Amino acid sequence: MLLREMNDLSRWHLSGCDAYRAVWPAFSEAQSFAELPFLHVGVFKHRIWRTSGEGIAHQRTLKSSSTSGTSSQIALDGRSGALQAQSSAAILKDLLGADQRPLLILDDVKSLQQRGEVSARVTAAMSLRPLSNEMHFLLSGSENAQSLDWNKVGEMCAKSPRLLVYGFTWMLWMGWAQGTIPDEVRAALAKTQVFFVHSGGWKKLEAMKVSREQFDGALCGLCAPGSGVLDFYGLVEQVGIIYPLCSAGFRHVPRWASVIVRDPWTMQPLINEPGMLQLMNPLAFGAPYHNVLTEDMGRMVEGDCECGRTGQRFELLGRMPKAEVRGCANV
Amino acid sequence: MTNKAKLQNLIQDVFLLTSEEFRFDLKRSEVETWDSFGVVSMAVGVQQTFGYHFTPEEATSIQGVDDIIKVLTSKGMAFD
Repeated sequence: MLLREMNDLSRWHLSGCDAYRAVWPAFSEAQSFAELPFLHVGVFKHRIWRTSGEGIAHQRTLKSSSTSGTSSQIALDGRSGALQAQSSAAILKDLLGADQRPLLILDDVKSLQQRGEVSARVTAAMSLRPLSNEMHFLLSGSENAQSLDWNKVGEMCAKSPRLLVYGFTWMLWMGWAQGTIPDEVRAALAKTQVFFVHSGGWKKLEAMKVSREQFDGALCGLCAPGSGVLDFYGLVEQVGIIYPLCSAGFRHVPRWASVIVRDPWTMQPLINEPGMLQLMNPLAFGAPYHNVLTEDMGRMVEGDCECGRTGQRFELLGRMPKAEVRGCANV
Repeated sequence: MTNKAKLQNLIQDVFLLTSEEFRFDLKRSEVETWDSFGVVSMAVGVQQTFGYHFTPEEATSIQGVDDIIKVLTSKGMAFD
């Protein structure tokens, strides 16, 4: 079923995107996921790909937070956006539950106020909207983690016994875990169950020698029992599909997506061996980012997971050697 | 500052409009930046400026500046 959808979607893009057709002029039908046409993530840095077709109205351009100066740019569209929002909400509800609670975002609200563009951080935060009944932006200055509005945090602790907090990994560490928390807010947090959701990469924390255990402990240690931390892996080139880390340390692939790992030399699919991750989903209609070969290393793992989930899963192993250090890949 | 003036400043700020582009009968369909991200930005701005938090349903059902005024008026704010 998914393979058929991916074949249809590949033909949709071949029909509506000249540049994509130039890359894959001879494609007609794939018999396996590995045979489907794909693009390397790097090509999204060099041009804004767009597929035209019935019902496609392009909207803002989603930009990754690059550390090299060149961002990936993805042309968003309404048809795909609706599906992508449903997808990310379903994935997050599986881990966080469906009940709504206030969402606090470590970003400046001005990040939303950009003509024609939107950042990877805001897009990731917006994926939590279905789980929130109100939303607050905590920073004044999108890169200034120290500008965190602790008064707002205290106010929300008084209002709700459960909170959801989203931030880039390094920002949660610098702004929240290392922040100077007023005593009254610290006391309020100790009575509030907080679920922290983060993405964006460990590189800065690795440089600071901060381990995942330290990170999780520092955040949850401030809050009421039952608080938690959820780390998810996602790419702007796969918006709508996120891969949270499960309790057993794996990333689970939703039924409506697929992942393969390729040998970097032969490009053959691998199982239980490390290689290049290739991610695919049938949610992207406005541009051919439905099937991308990443610069991240992973290992597909067979069998059911200790966490109780079934289906495809993989272990994320880090960046490919010599690959650009990216700002929005959670490795 | 009157509530009308506060709302005008807010809408111009949130949707990156000049004072010449702003009207109190402005519709969502006329504003390029009033997309799903704009809806969130507007809702956060209204909360910060007027202290009222739109429900998600209210925020997405608003189709123009006049709808914002209607909701806020129903919460006891004056826009005369």
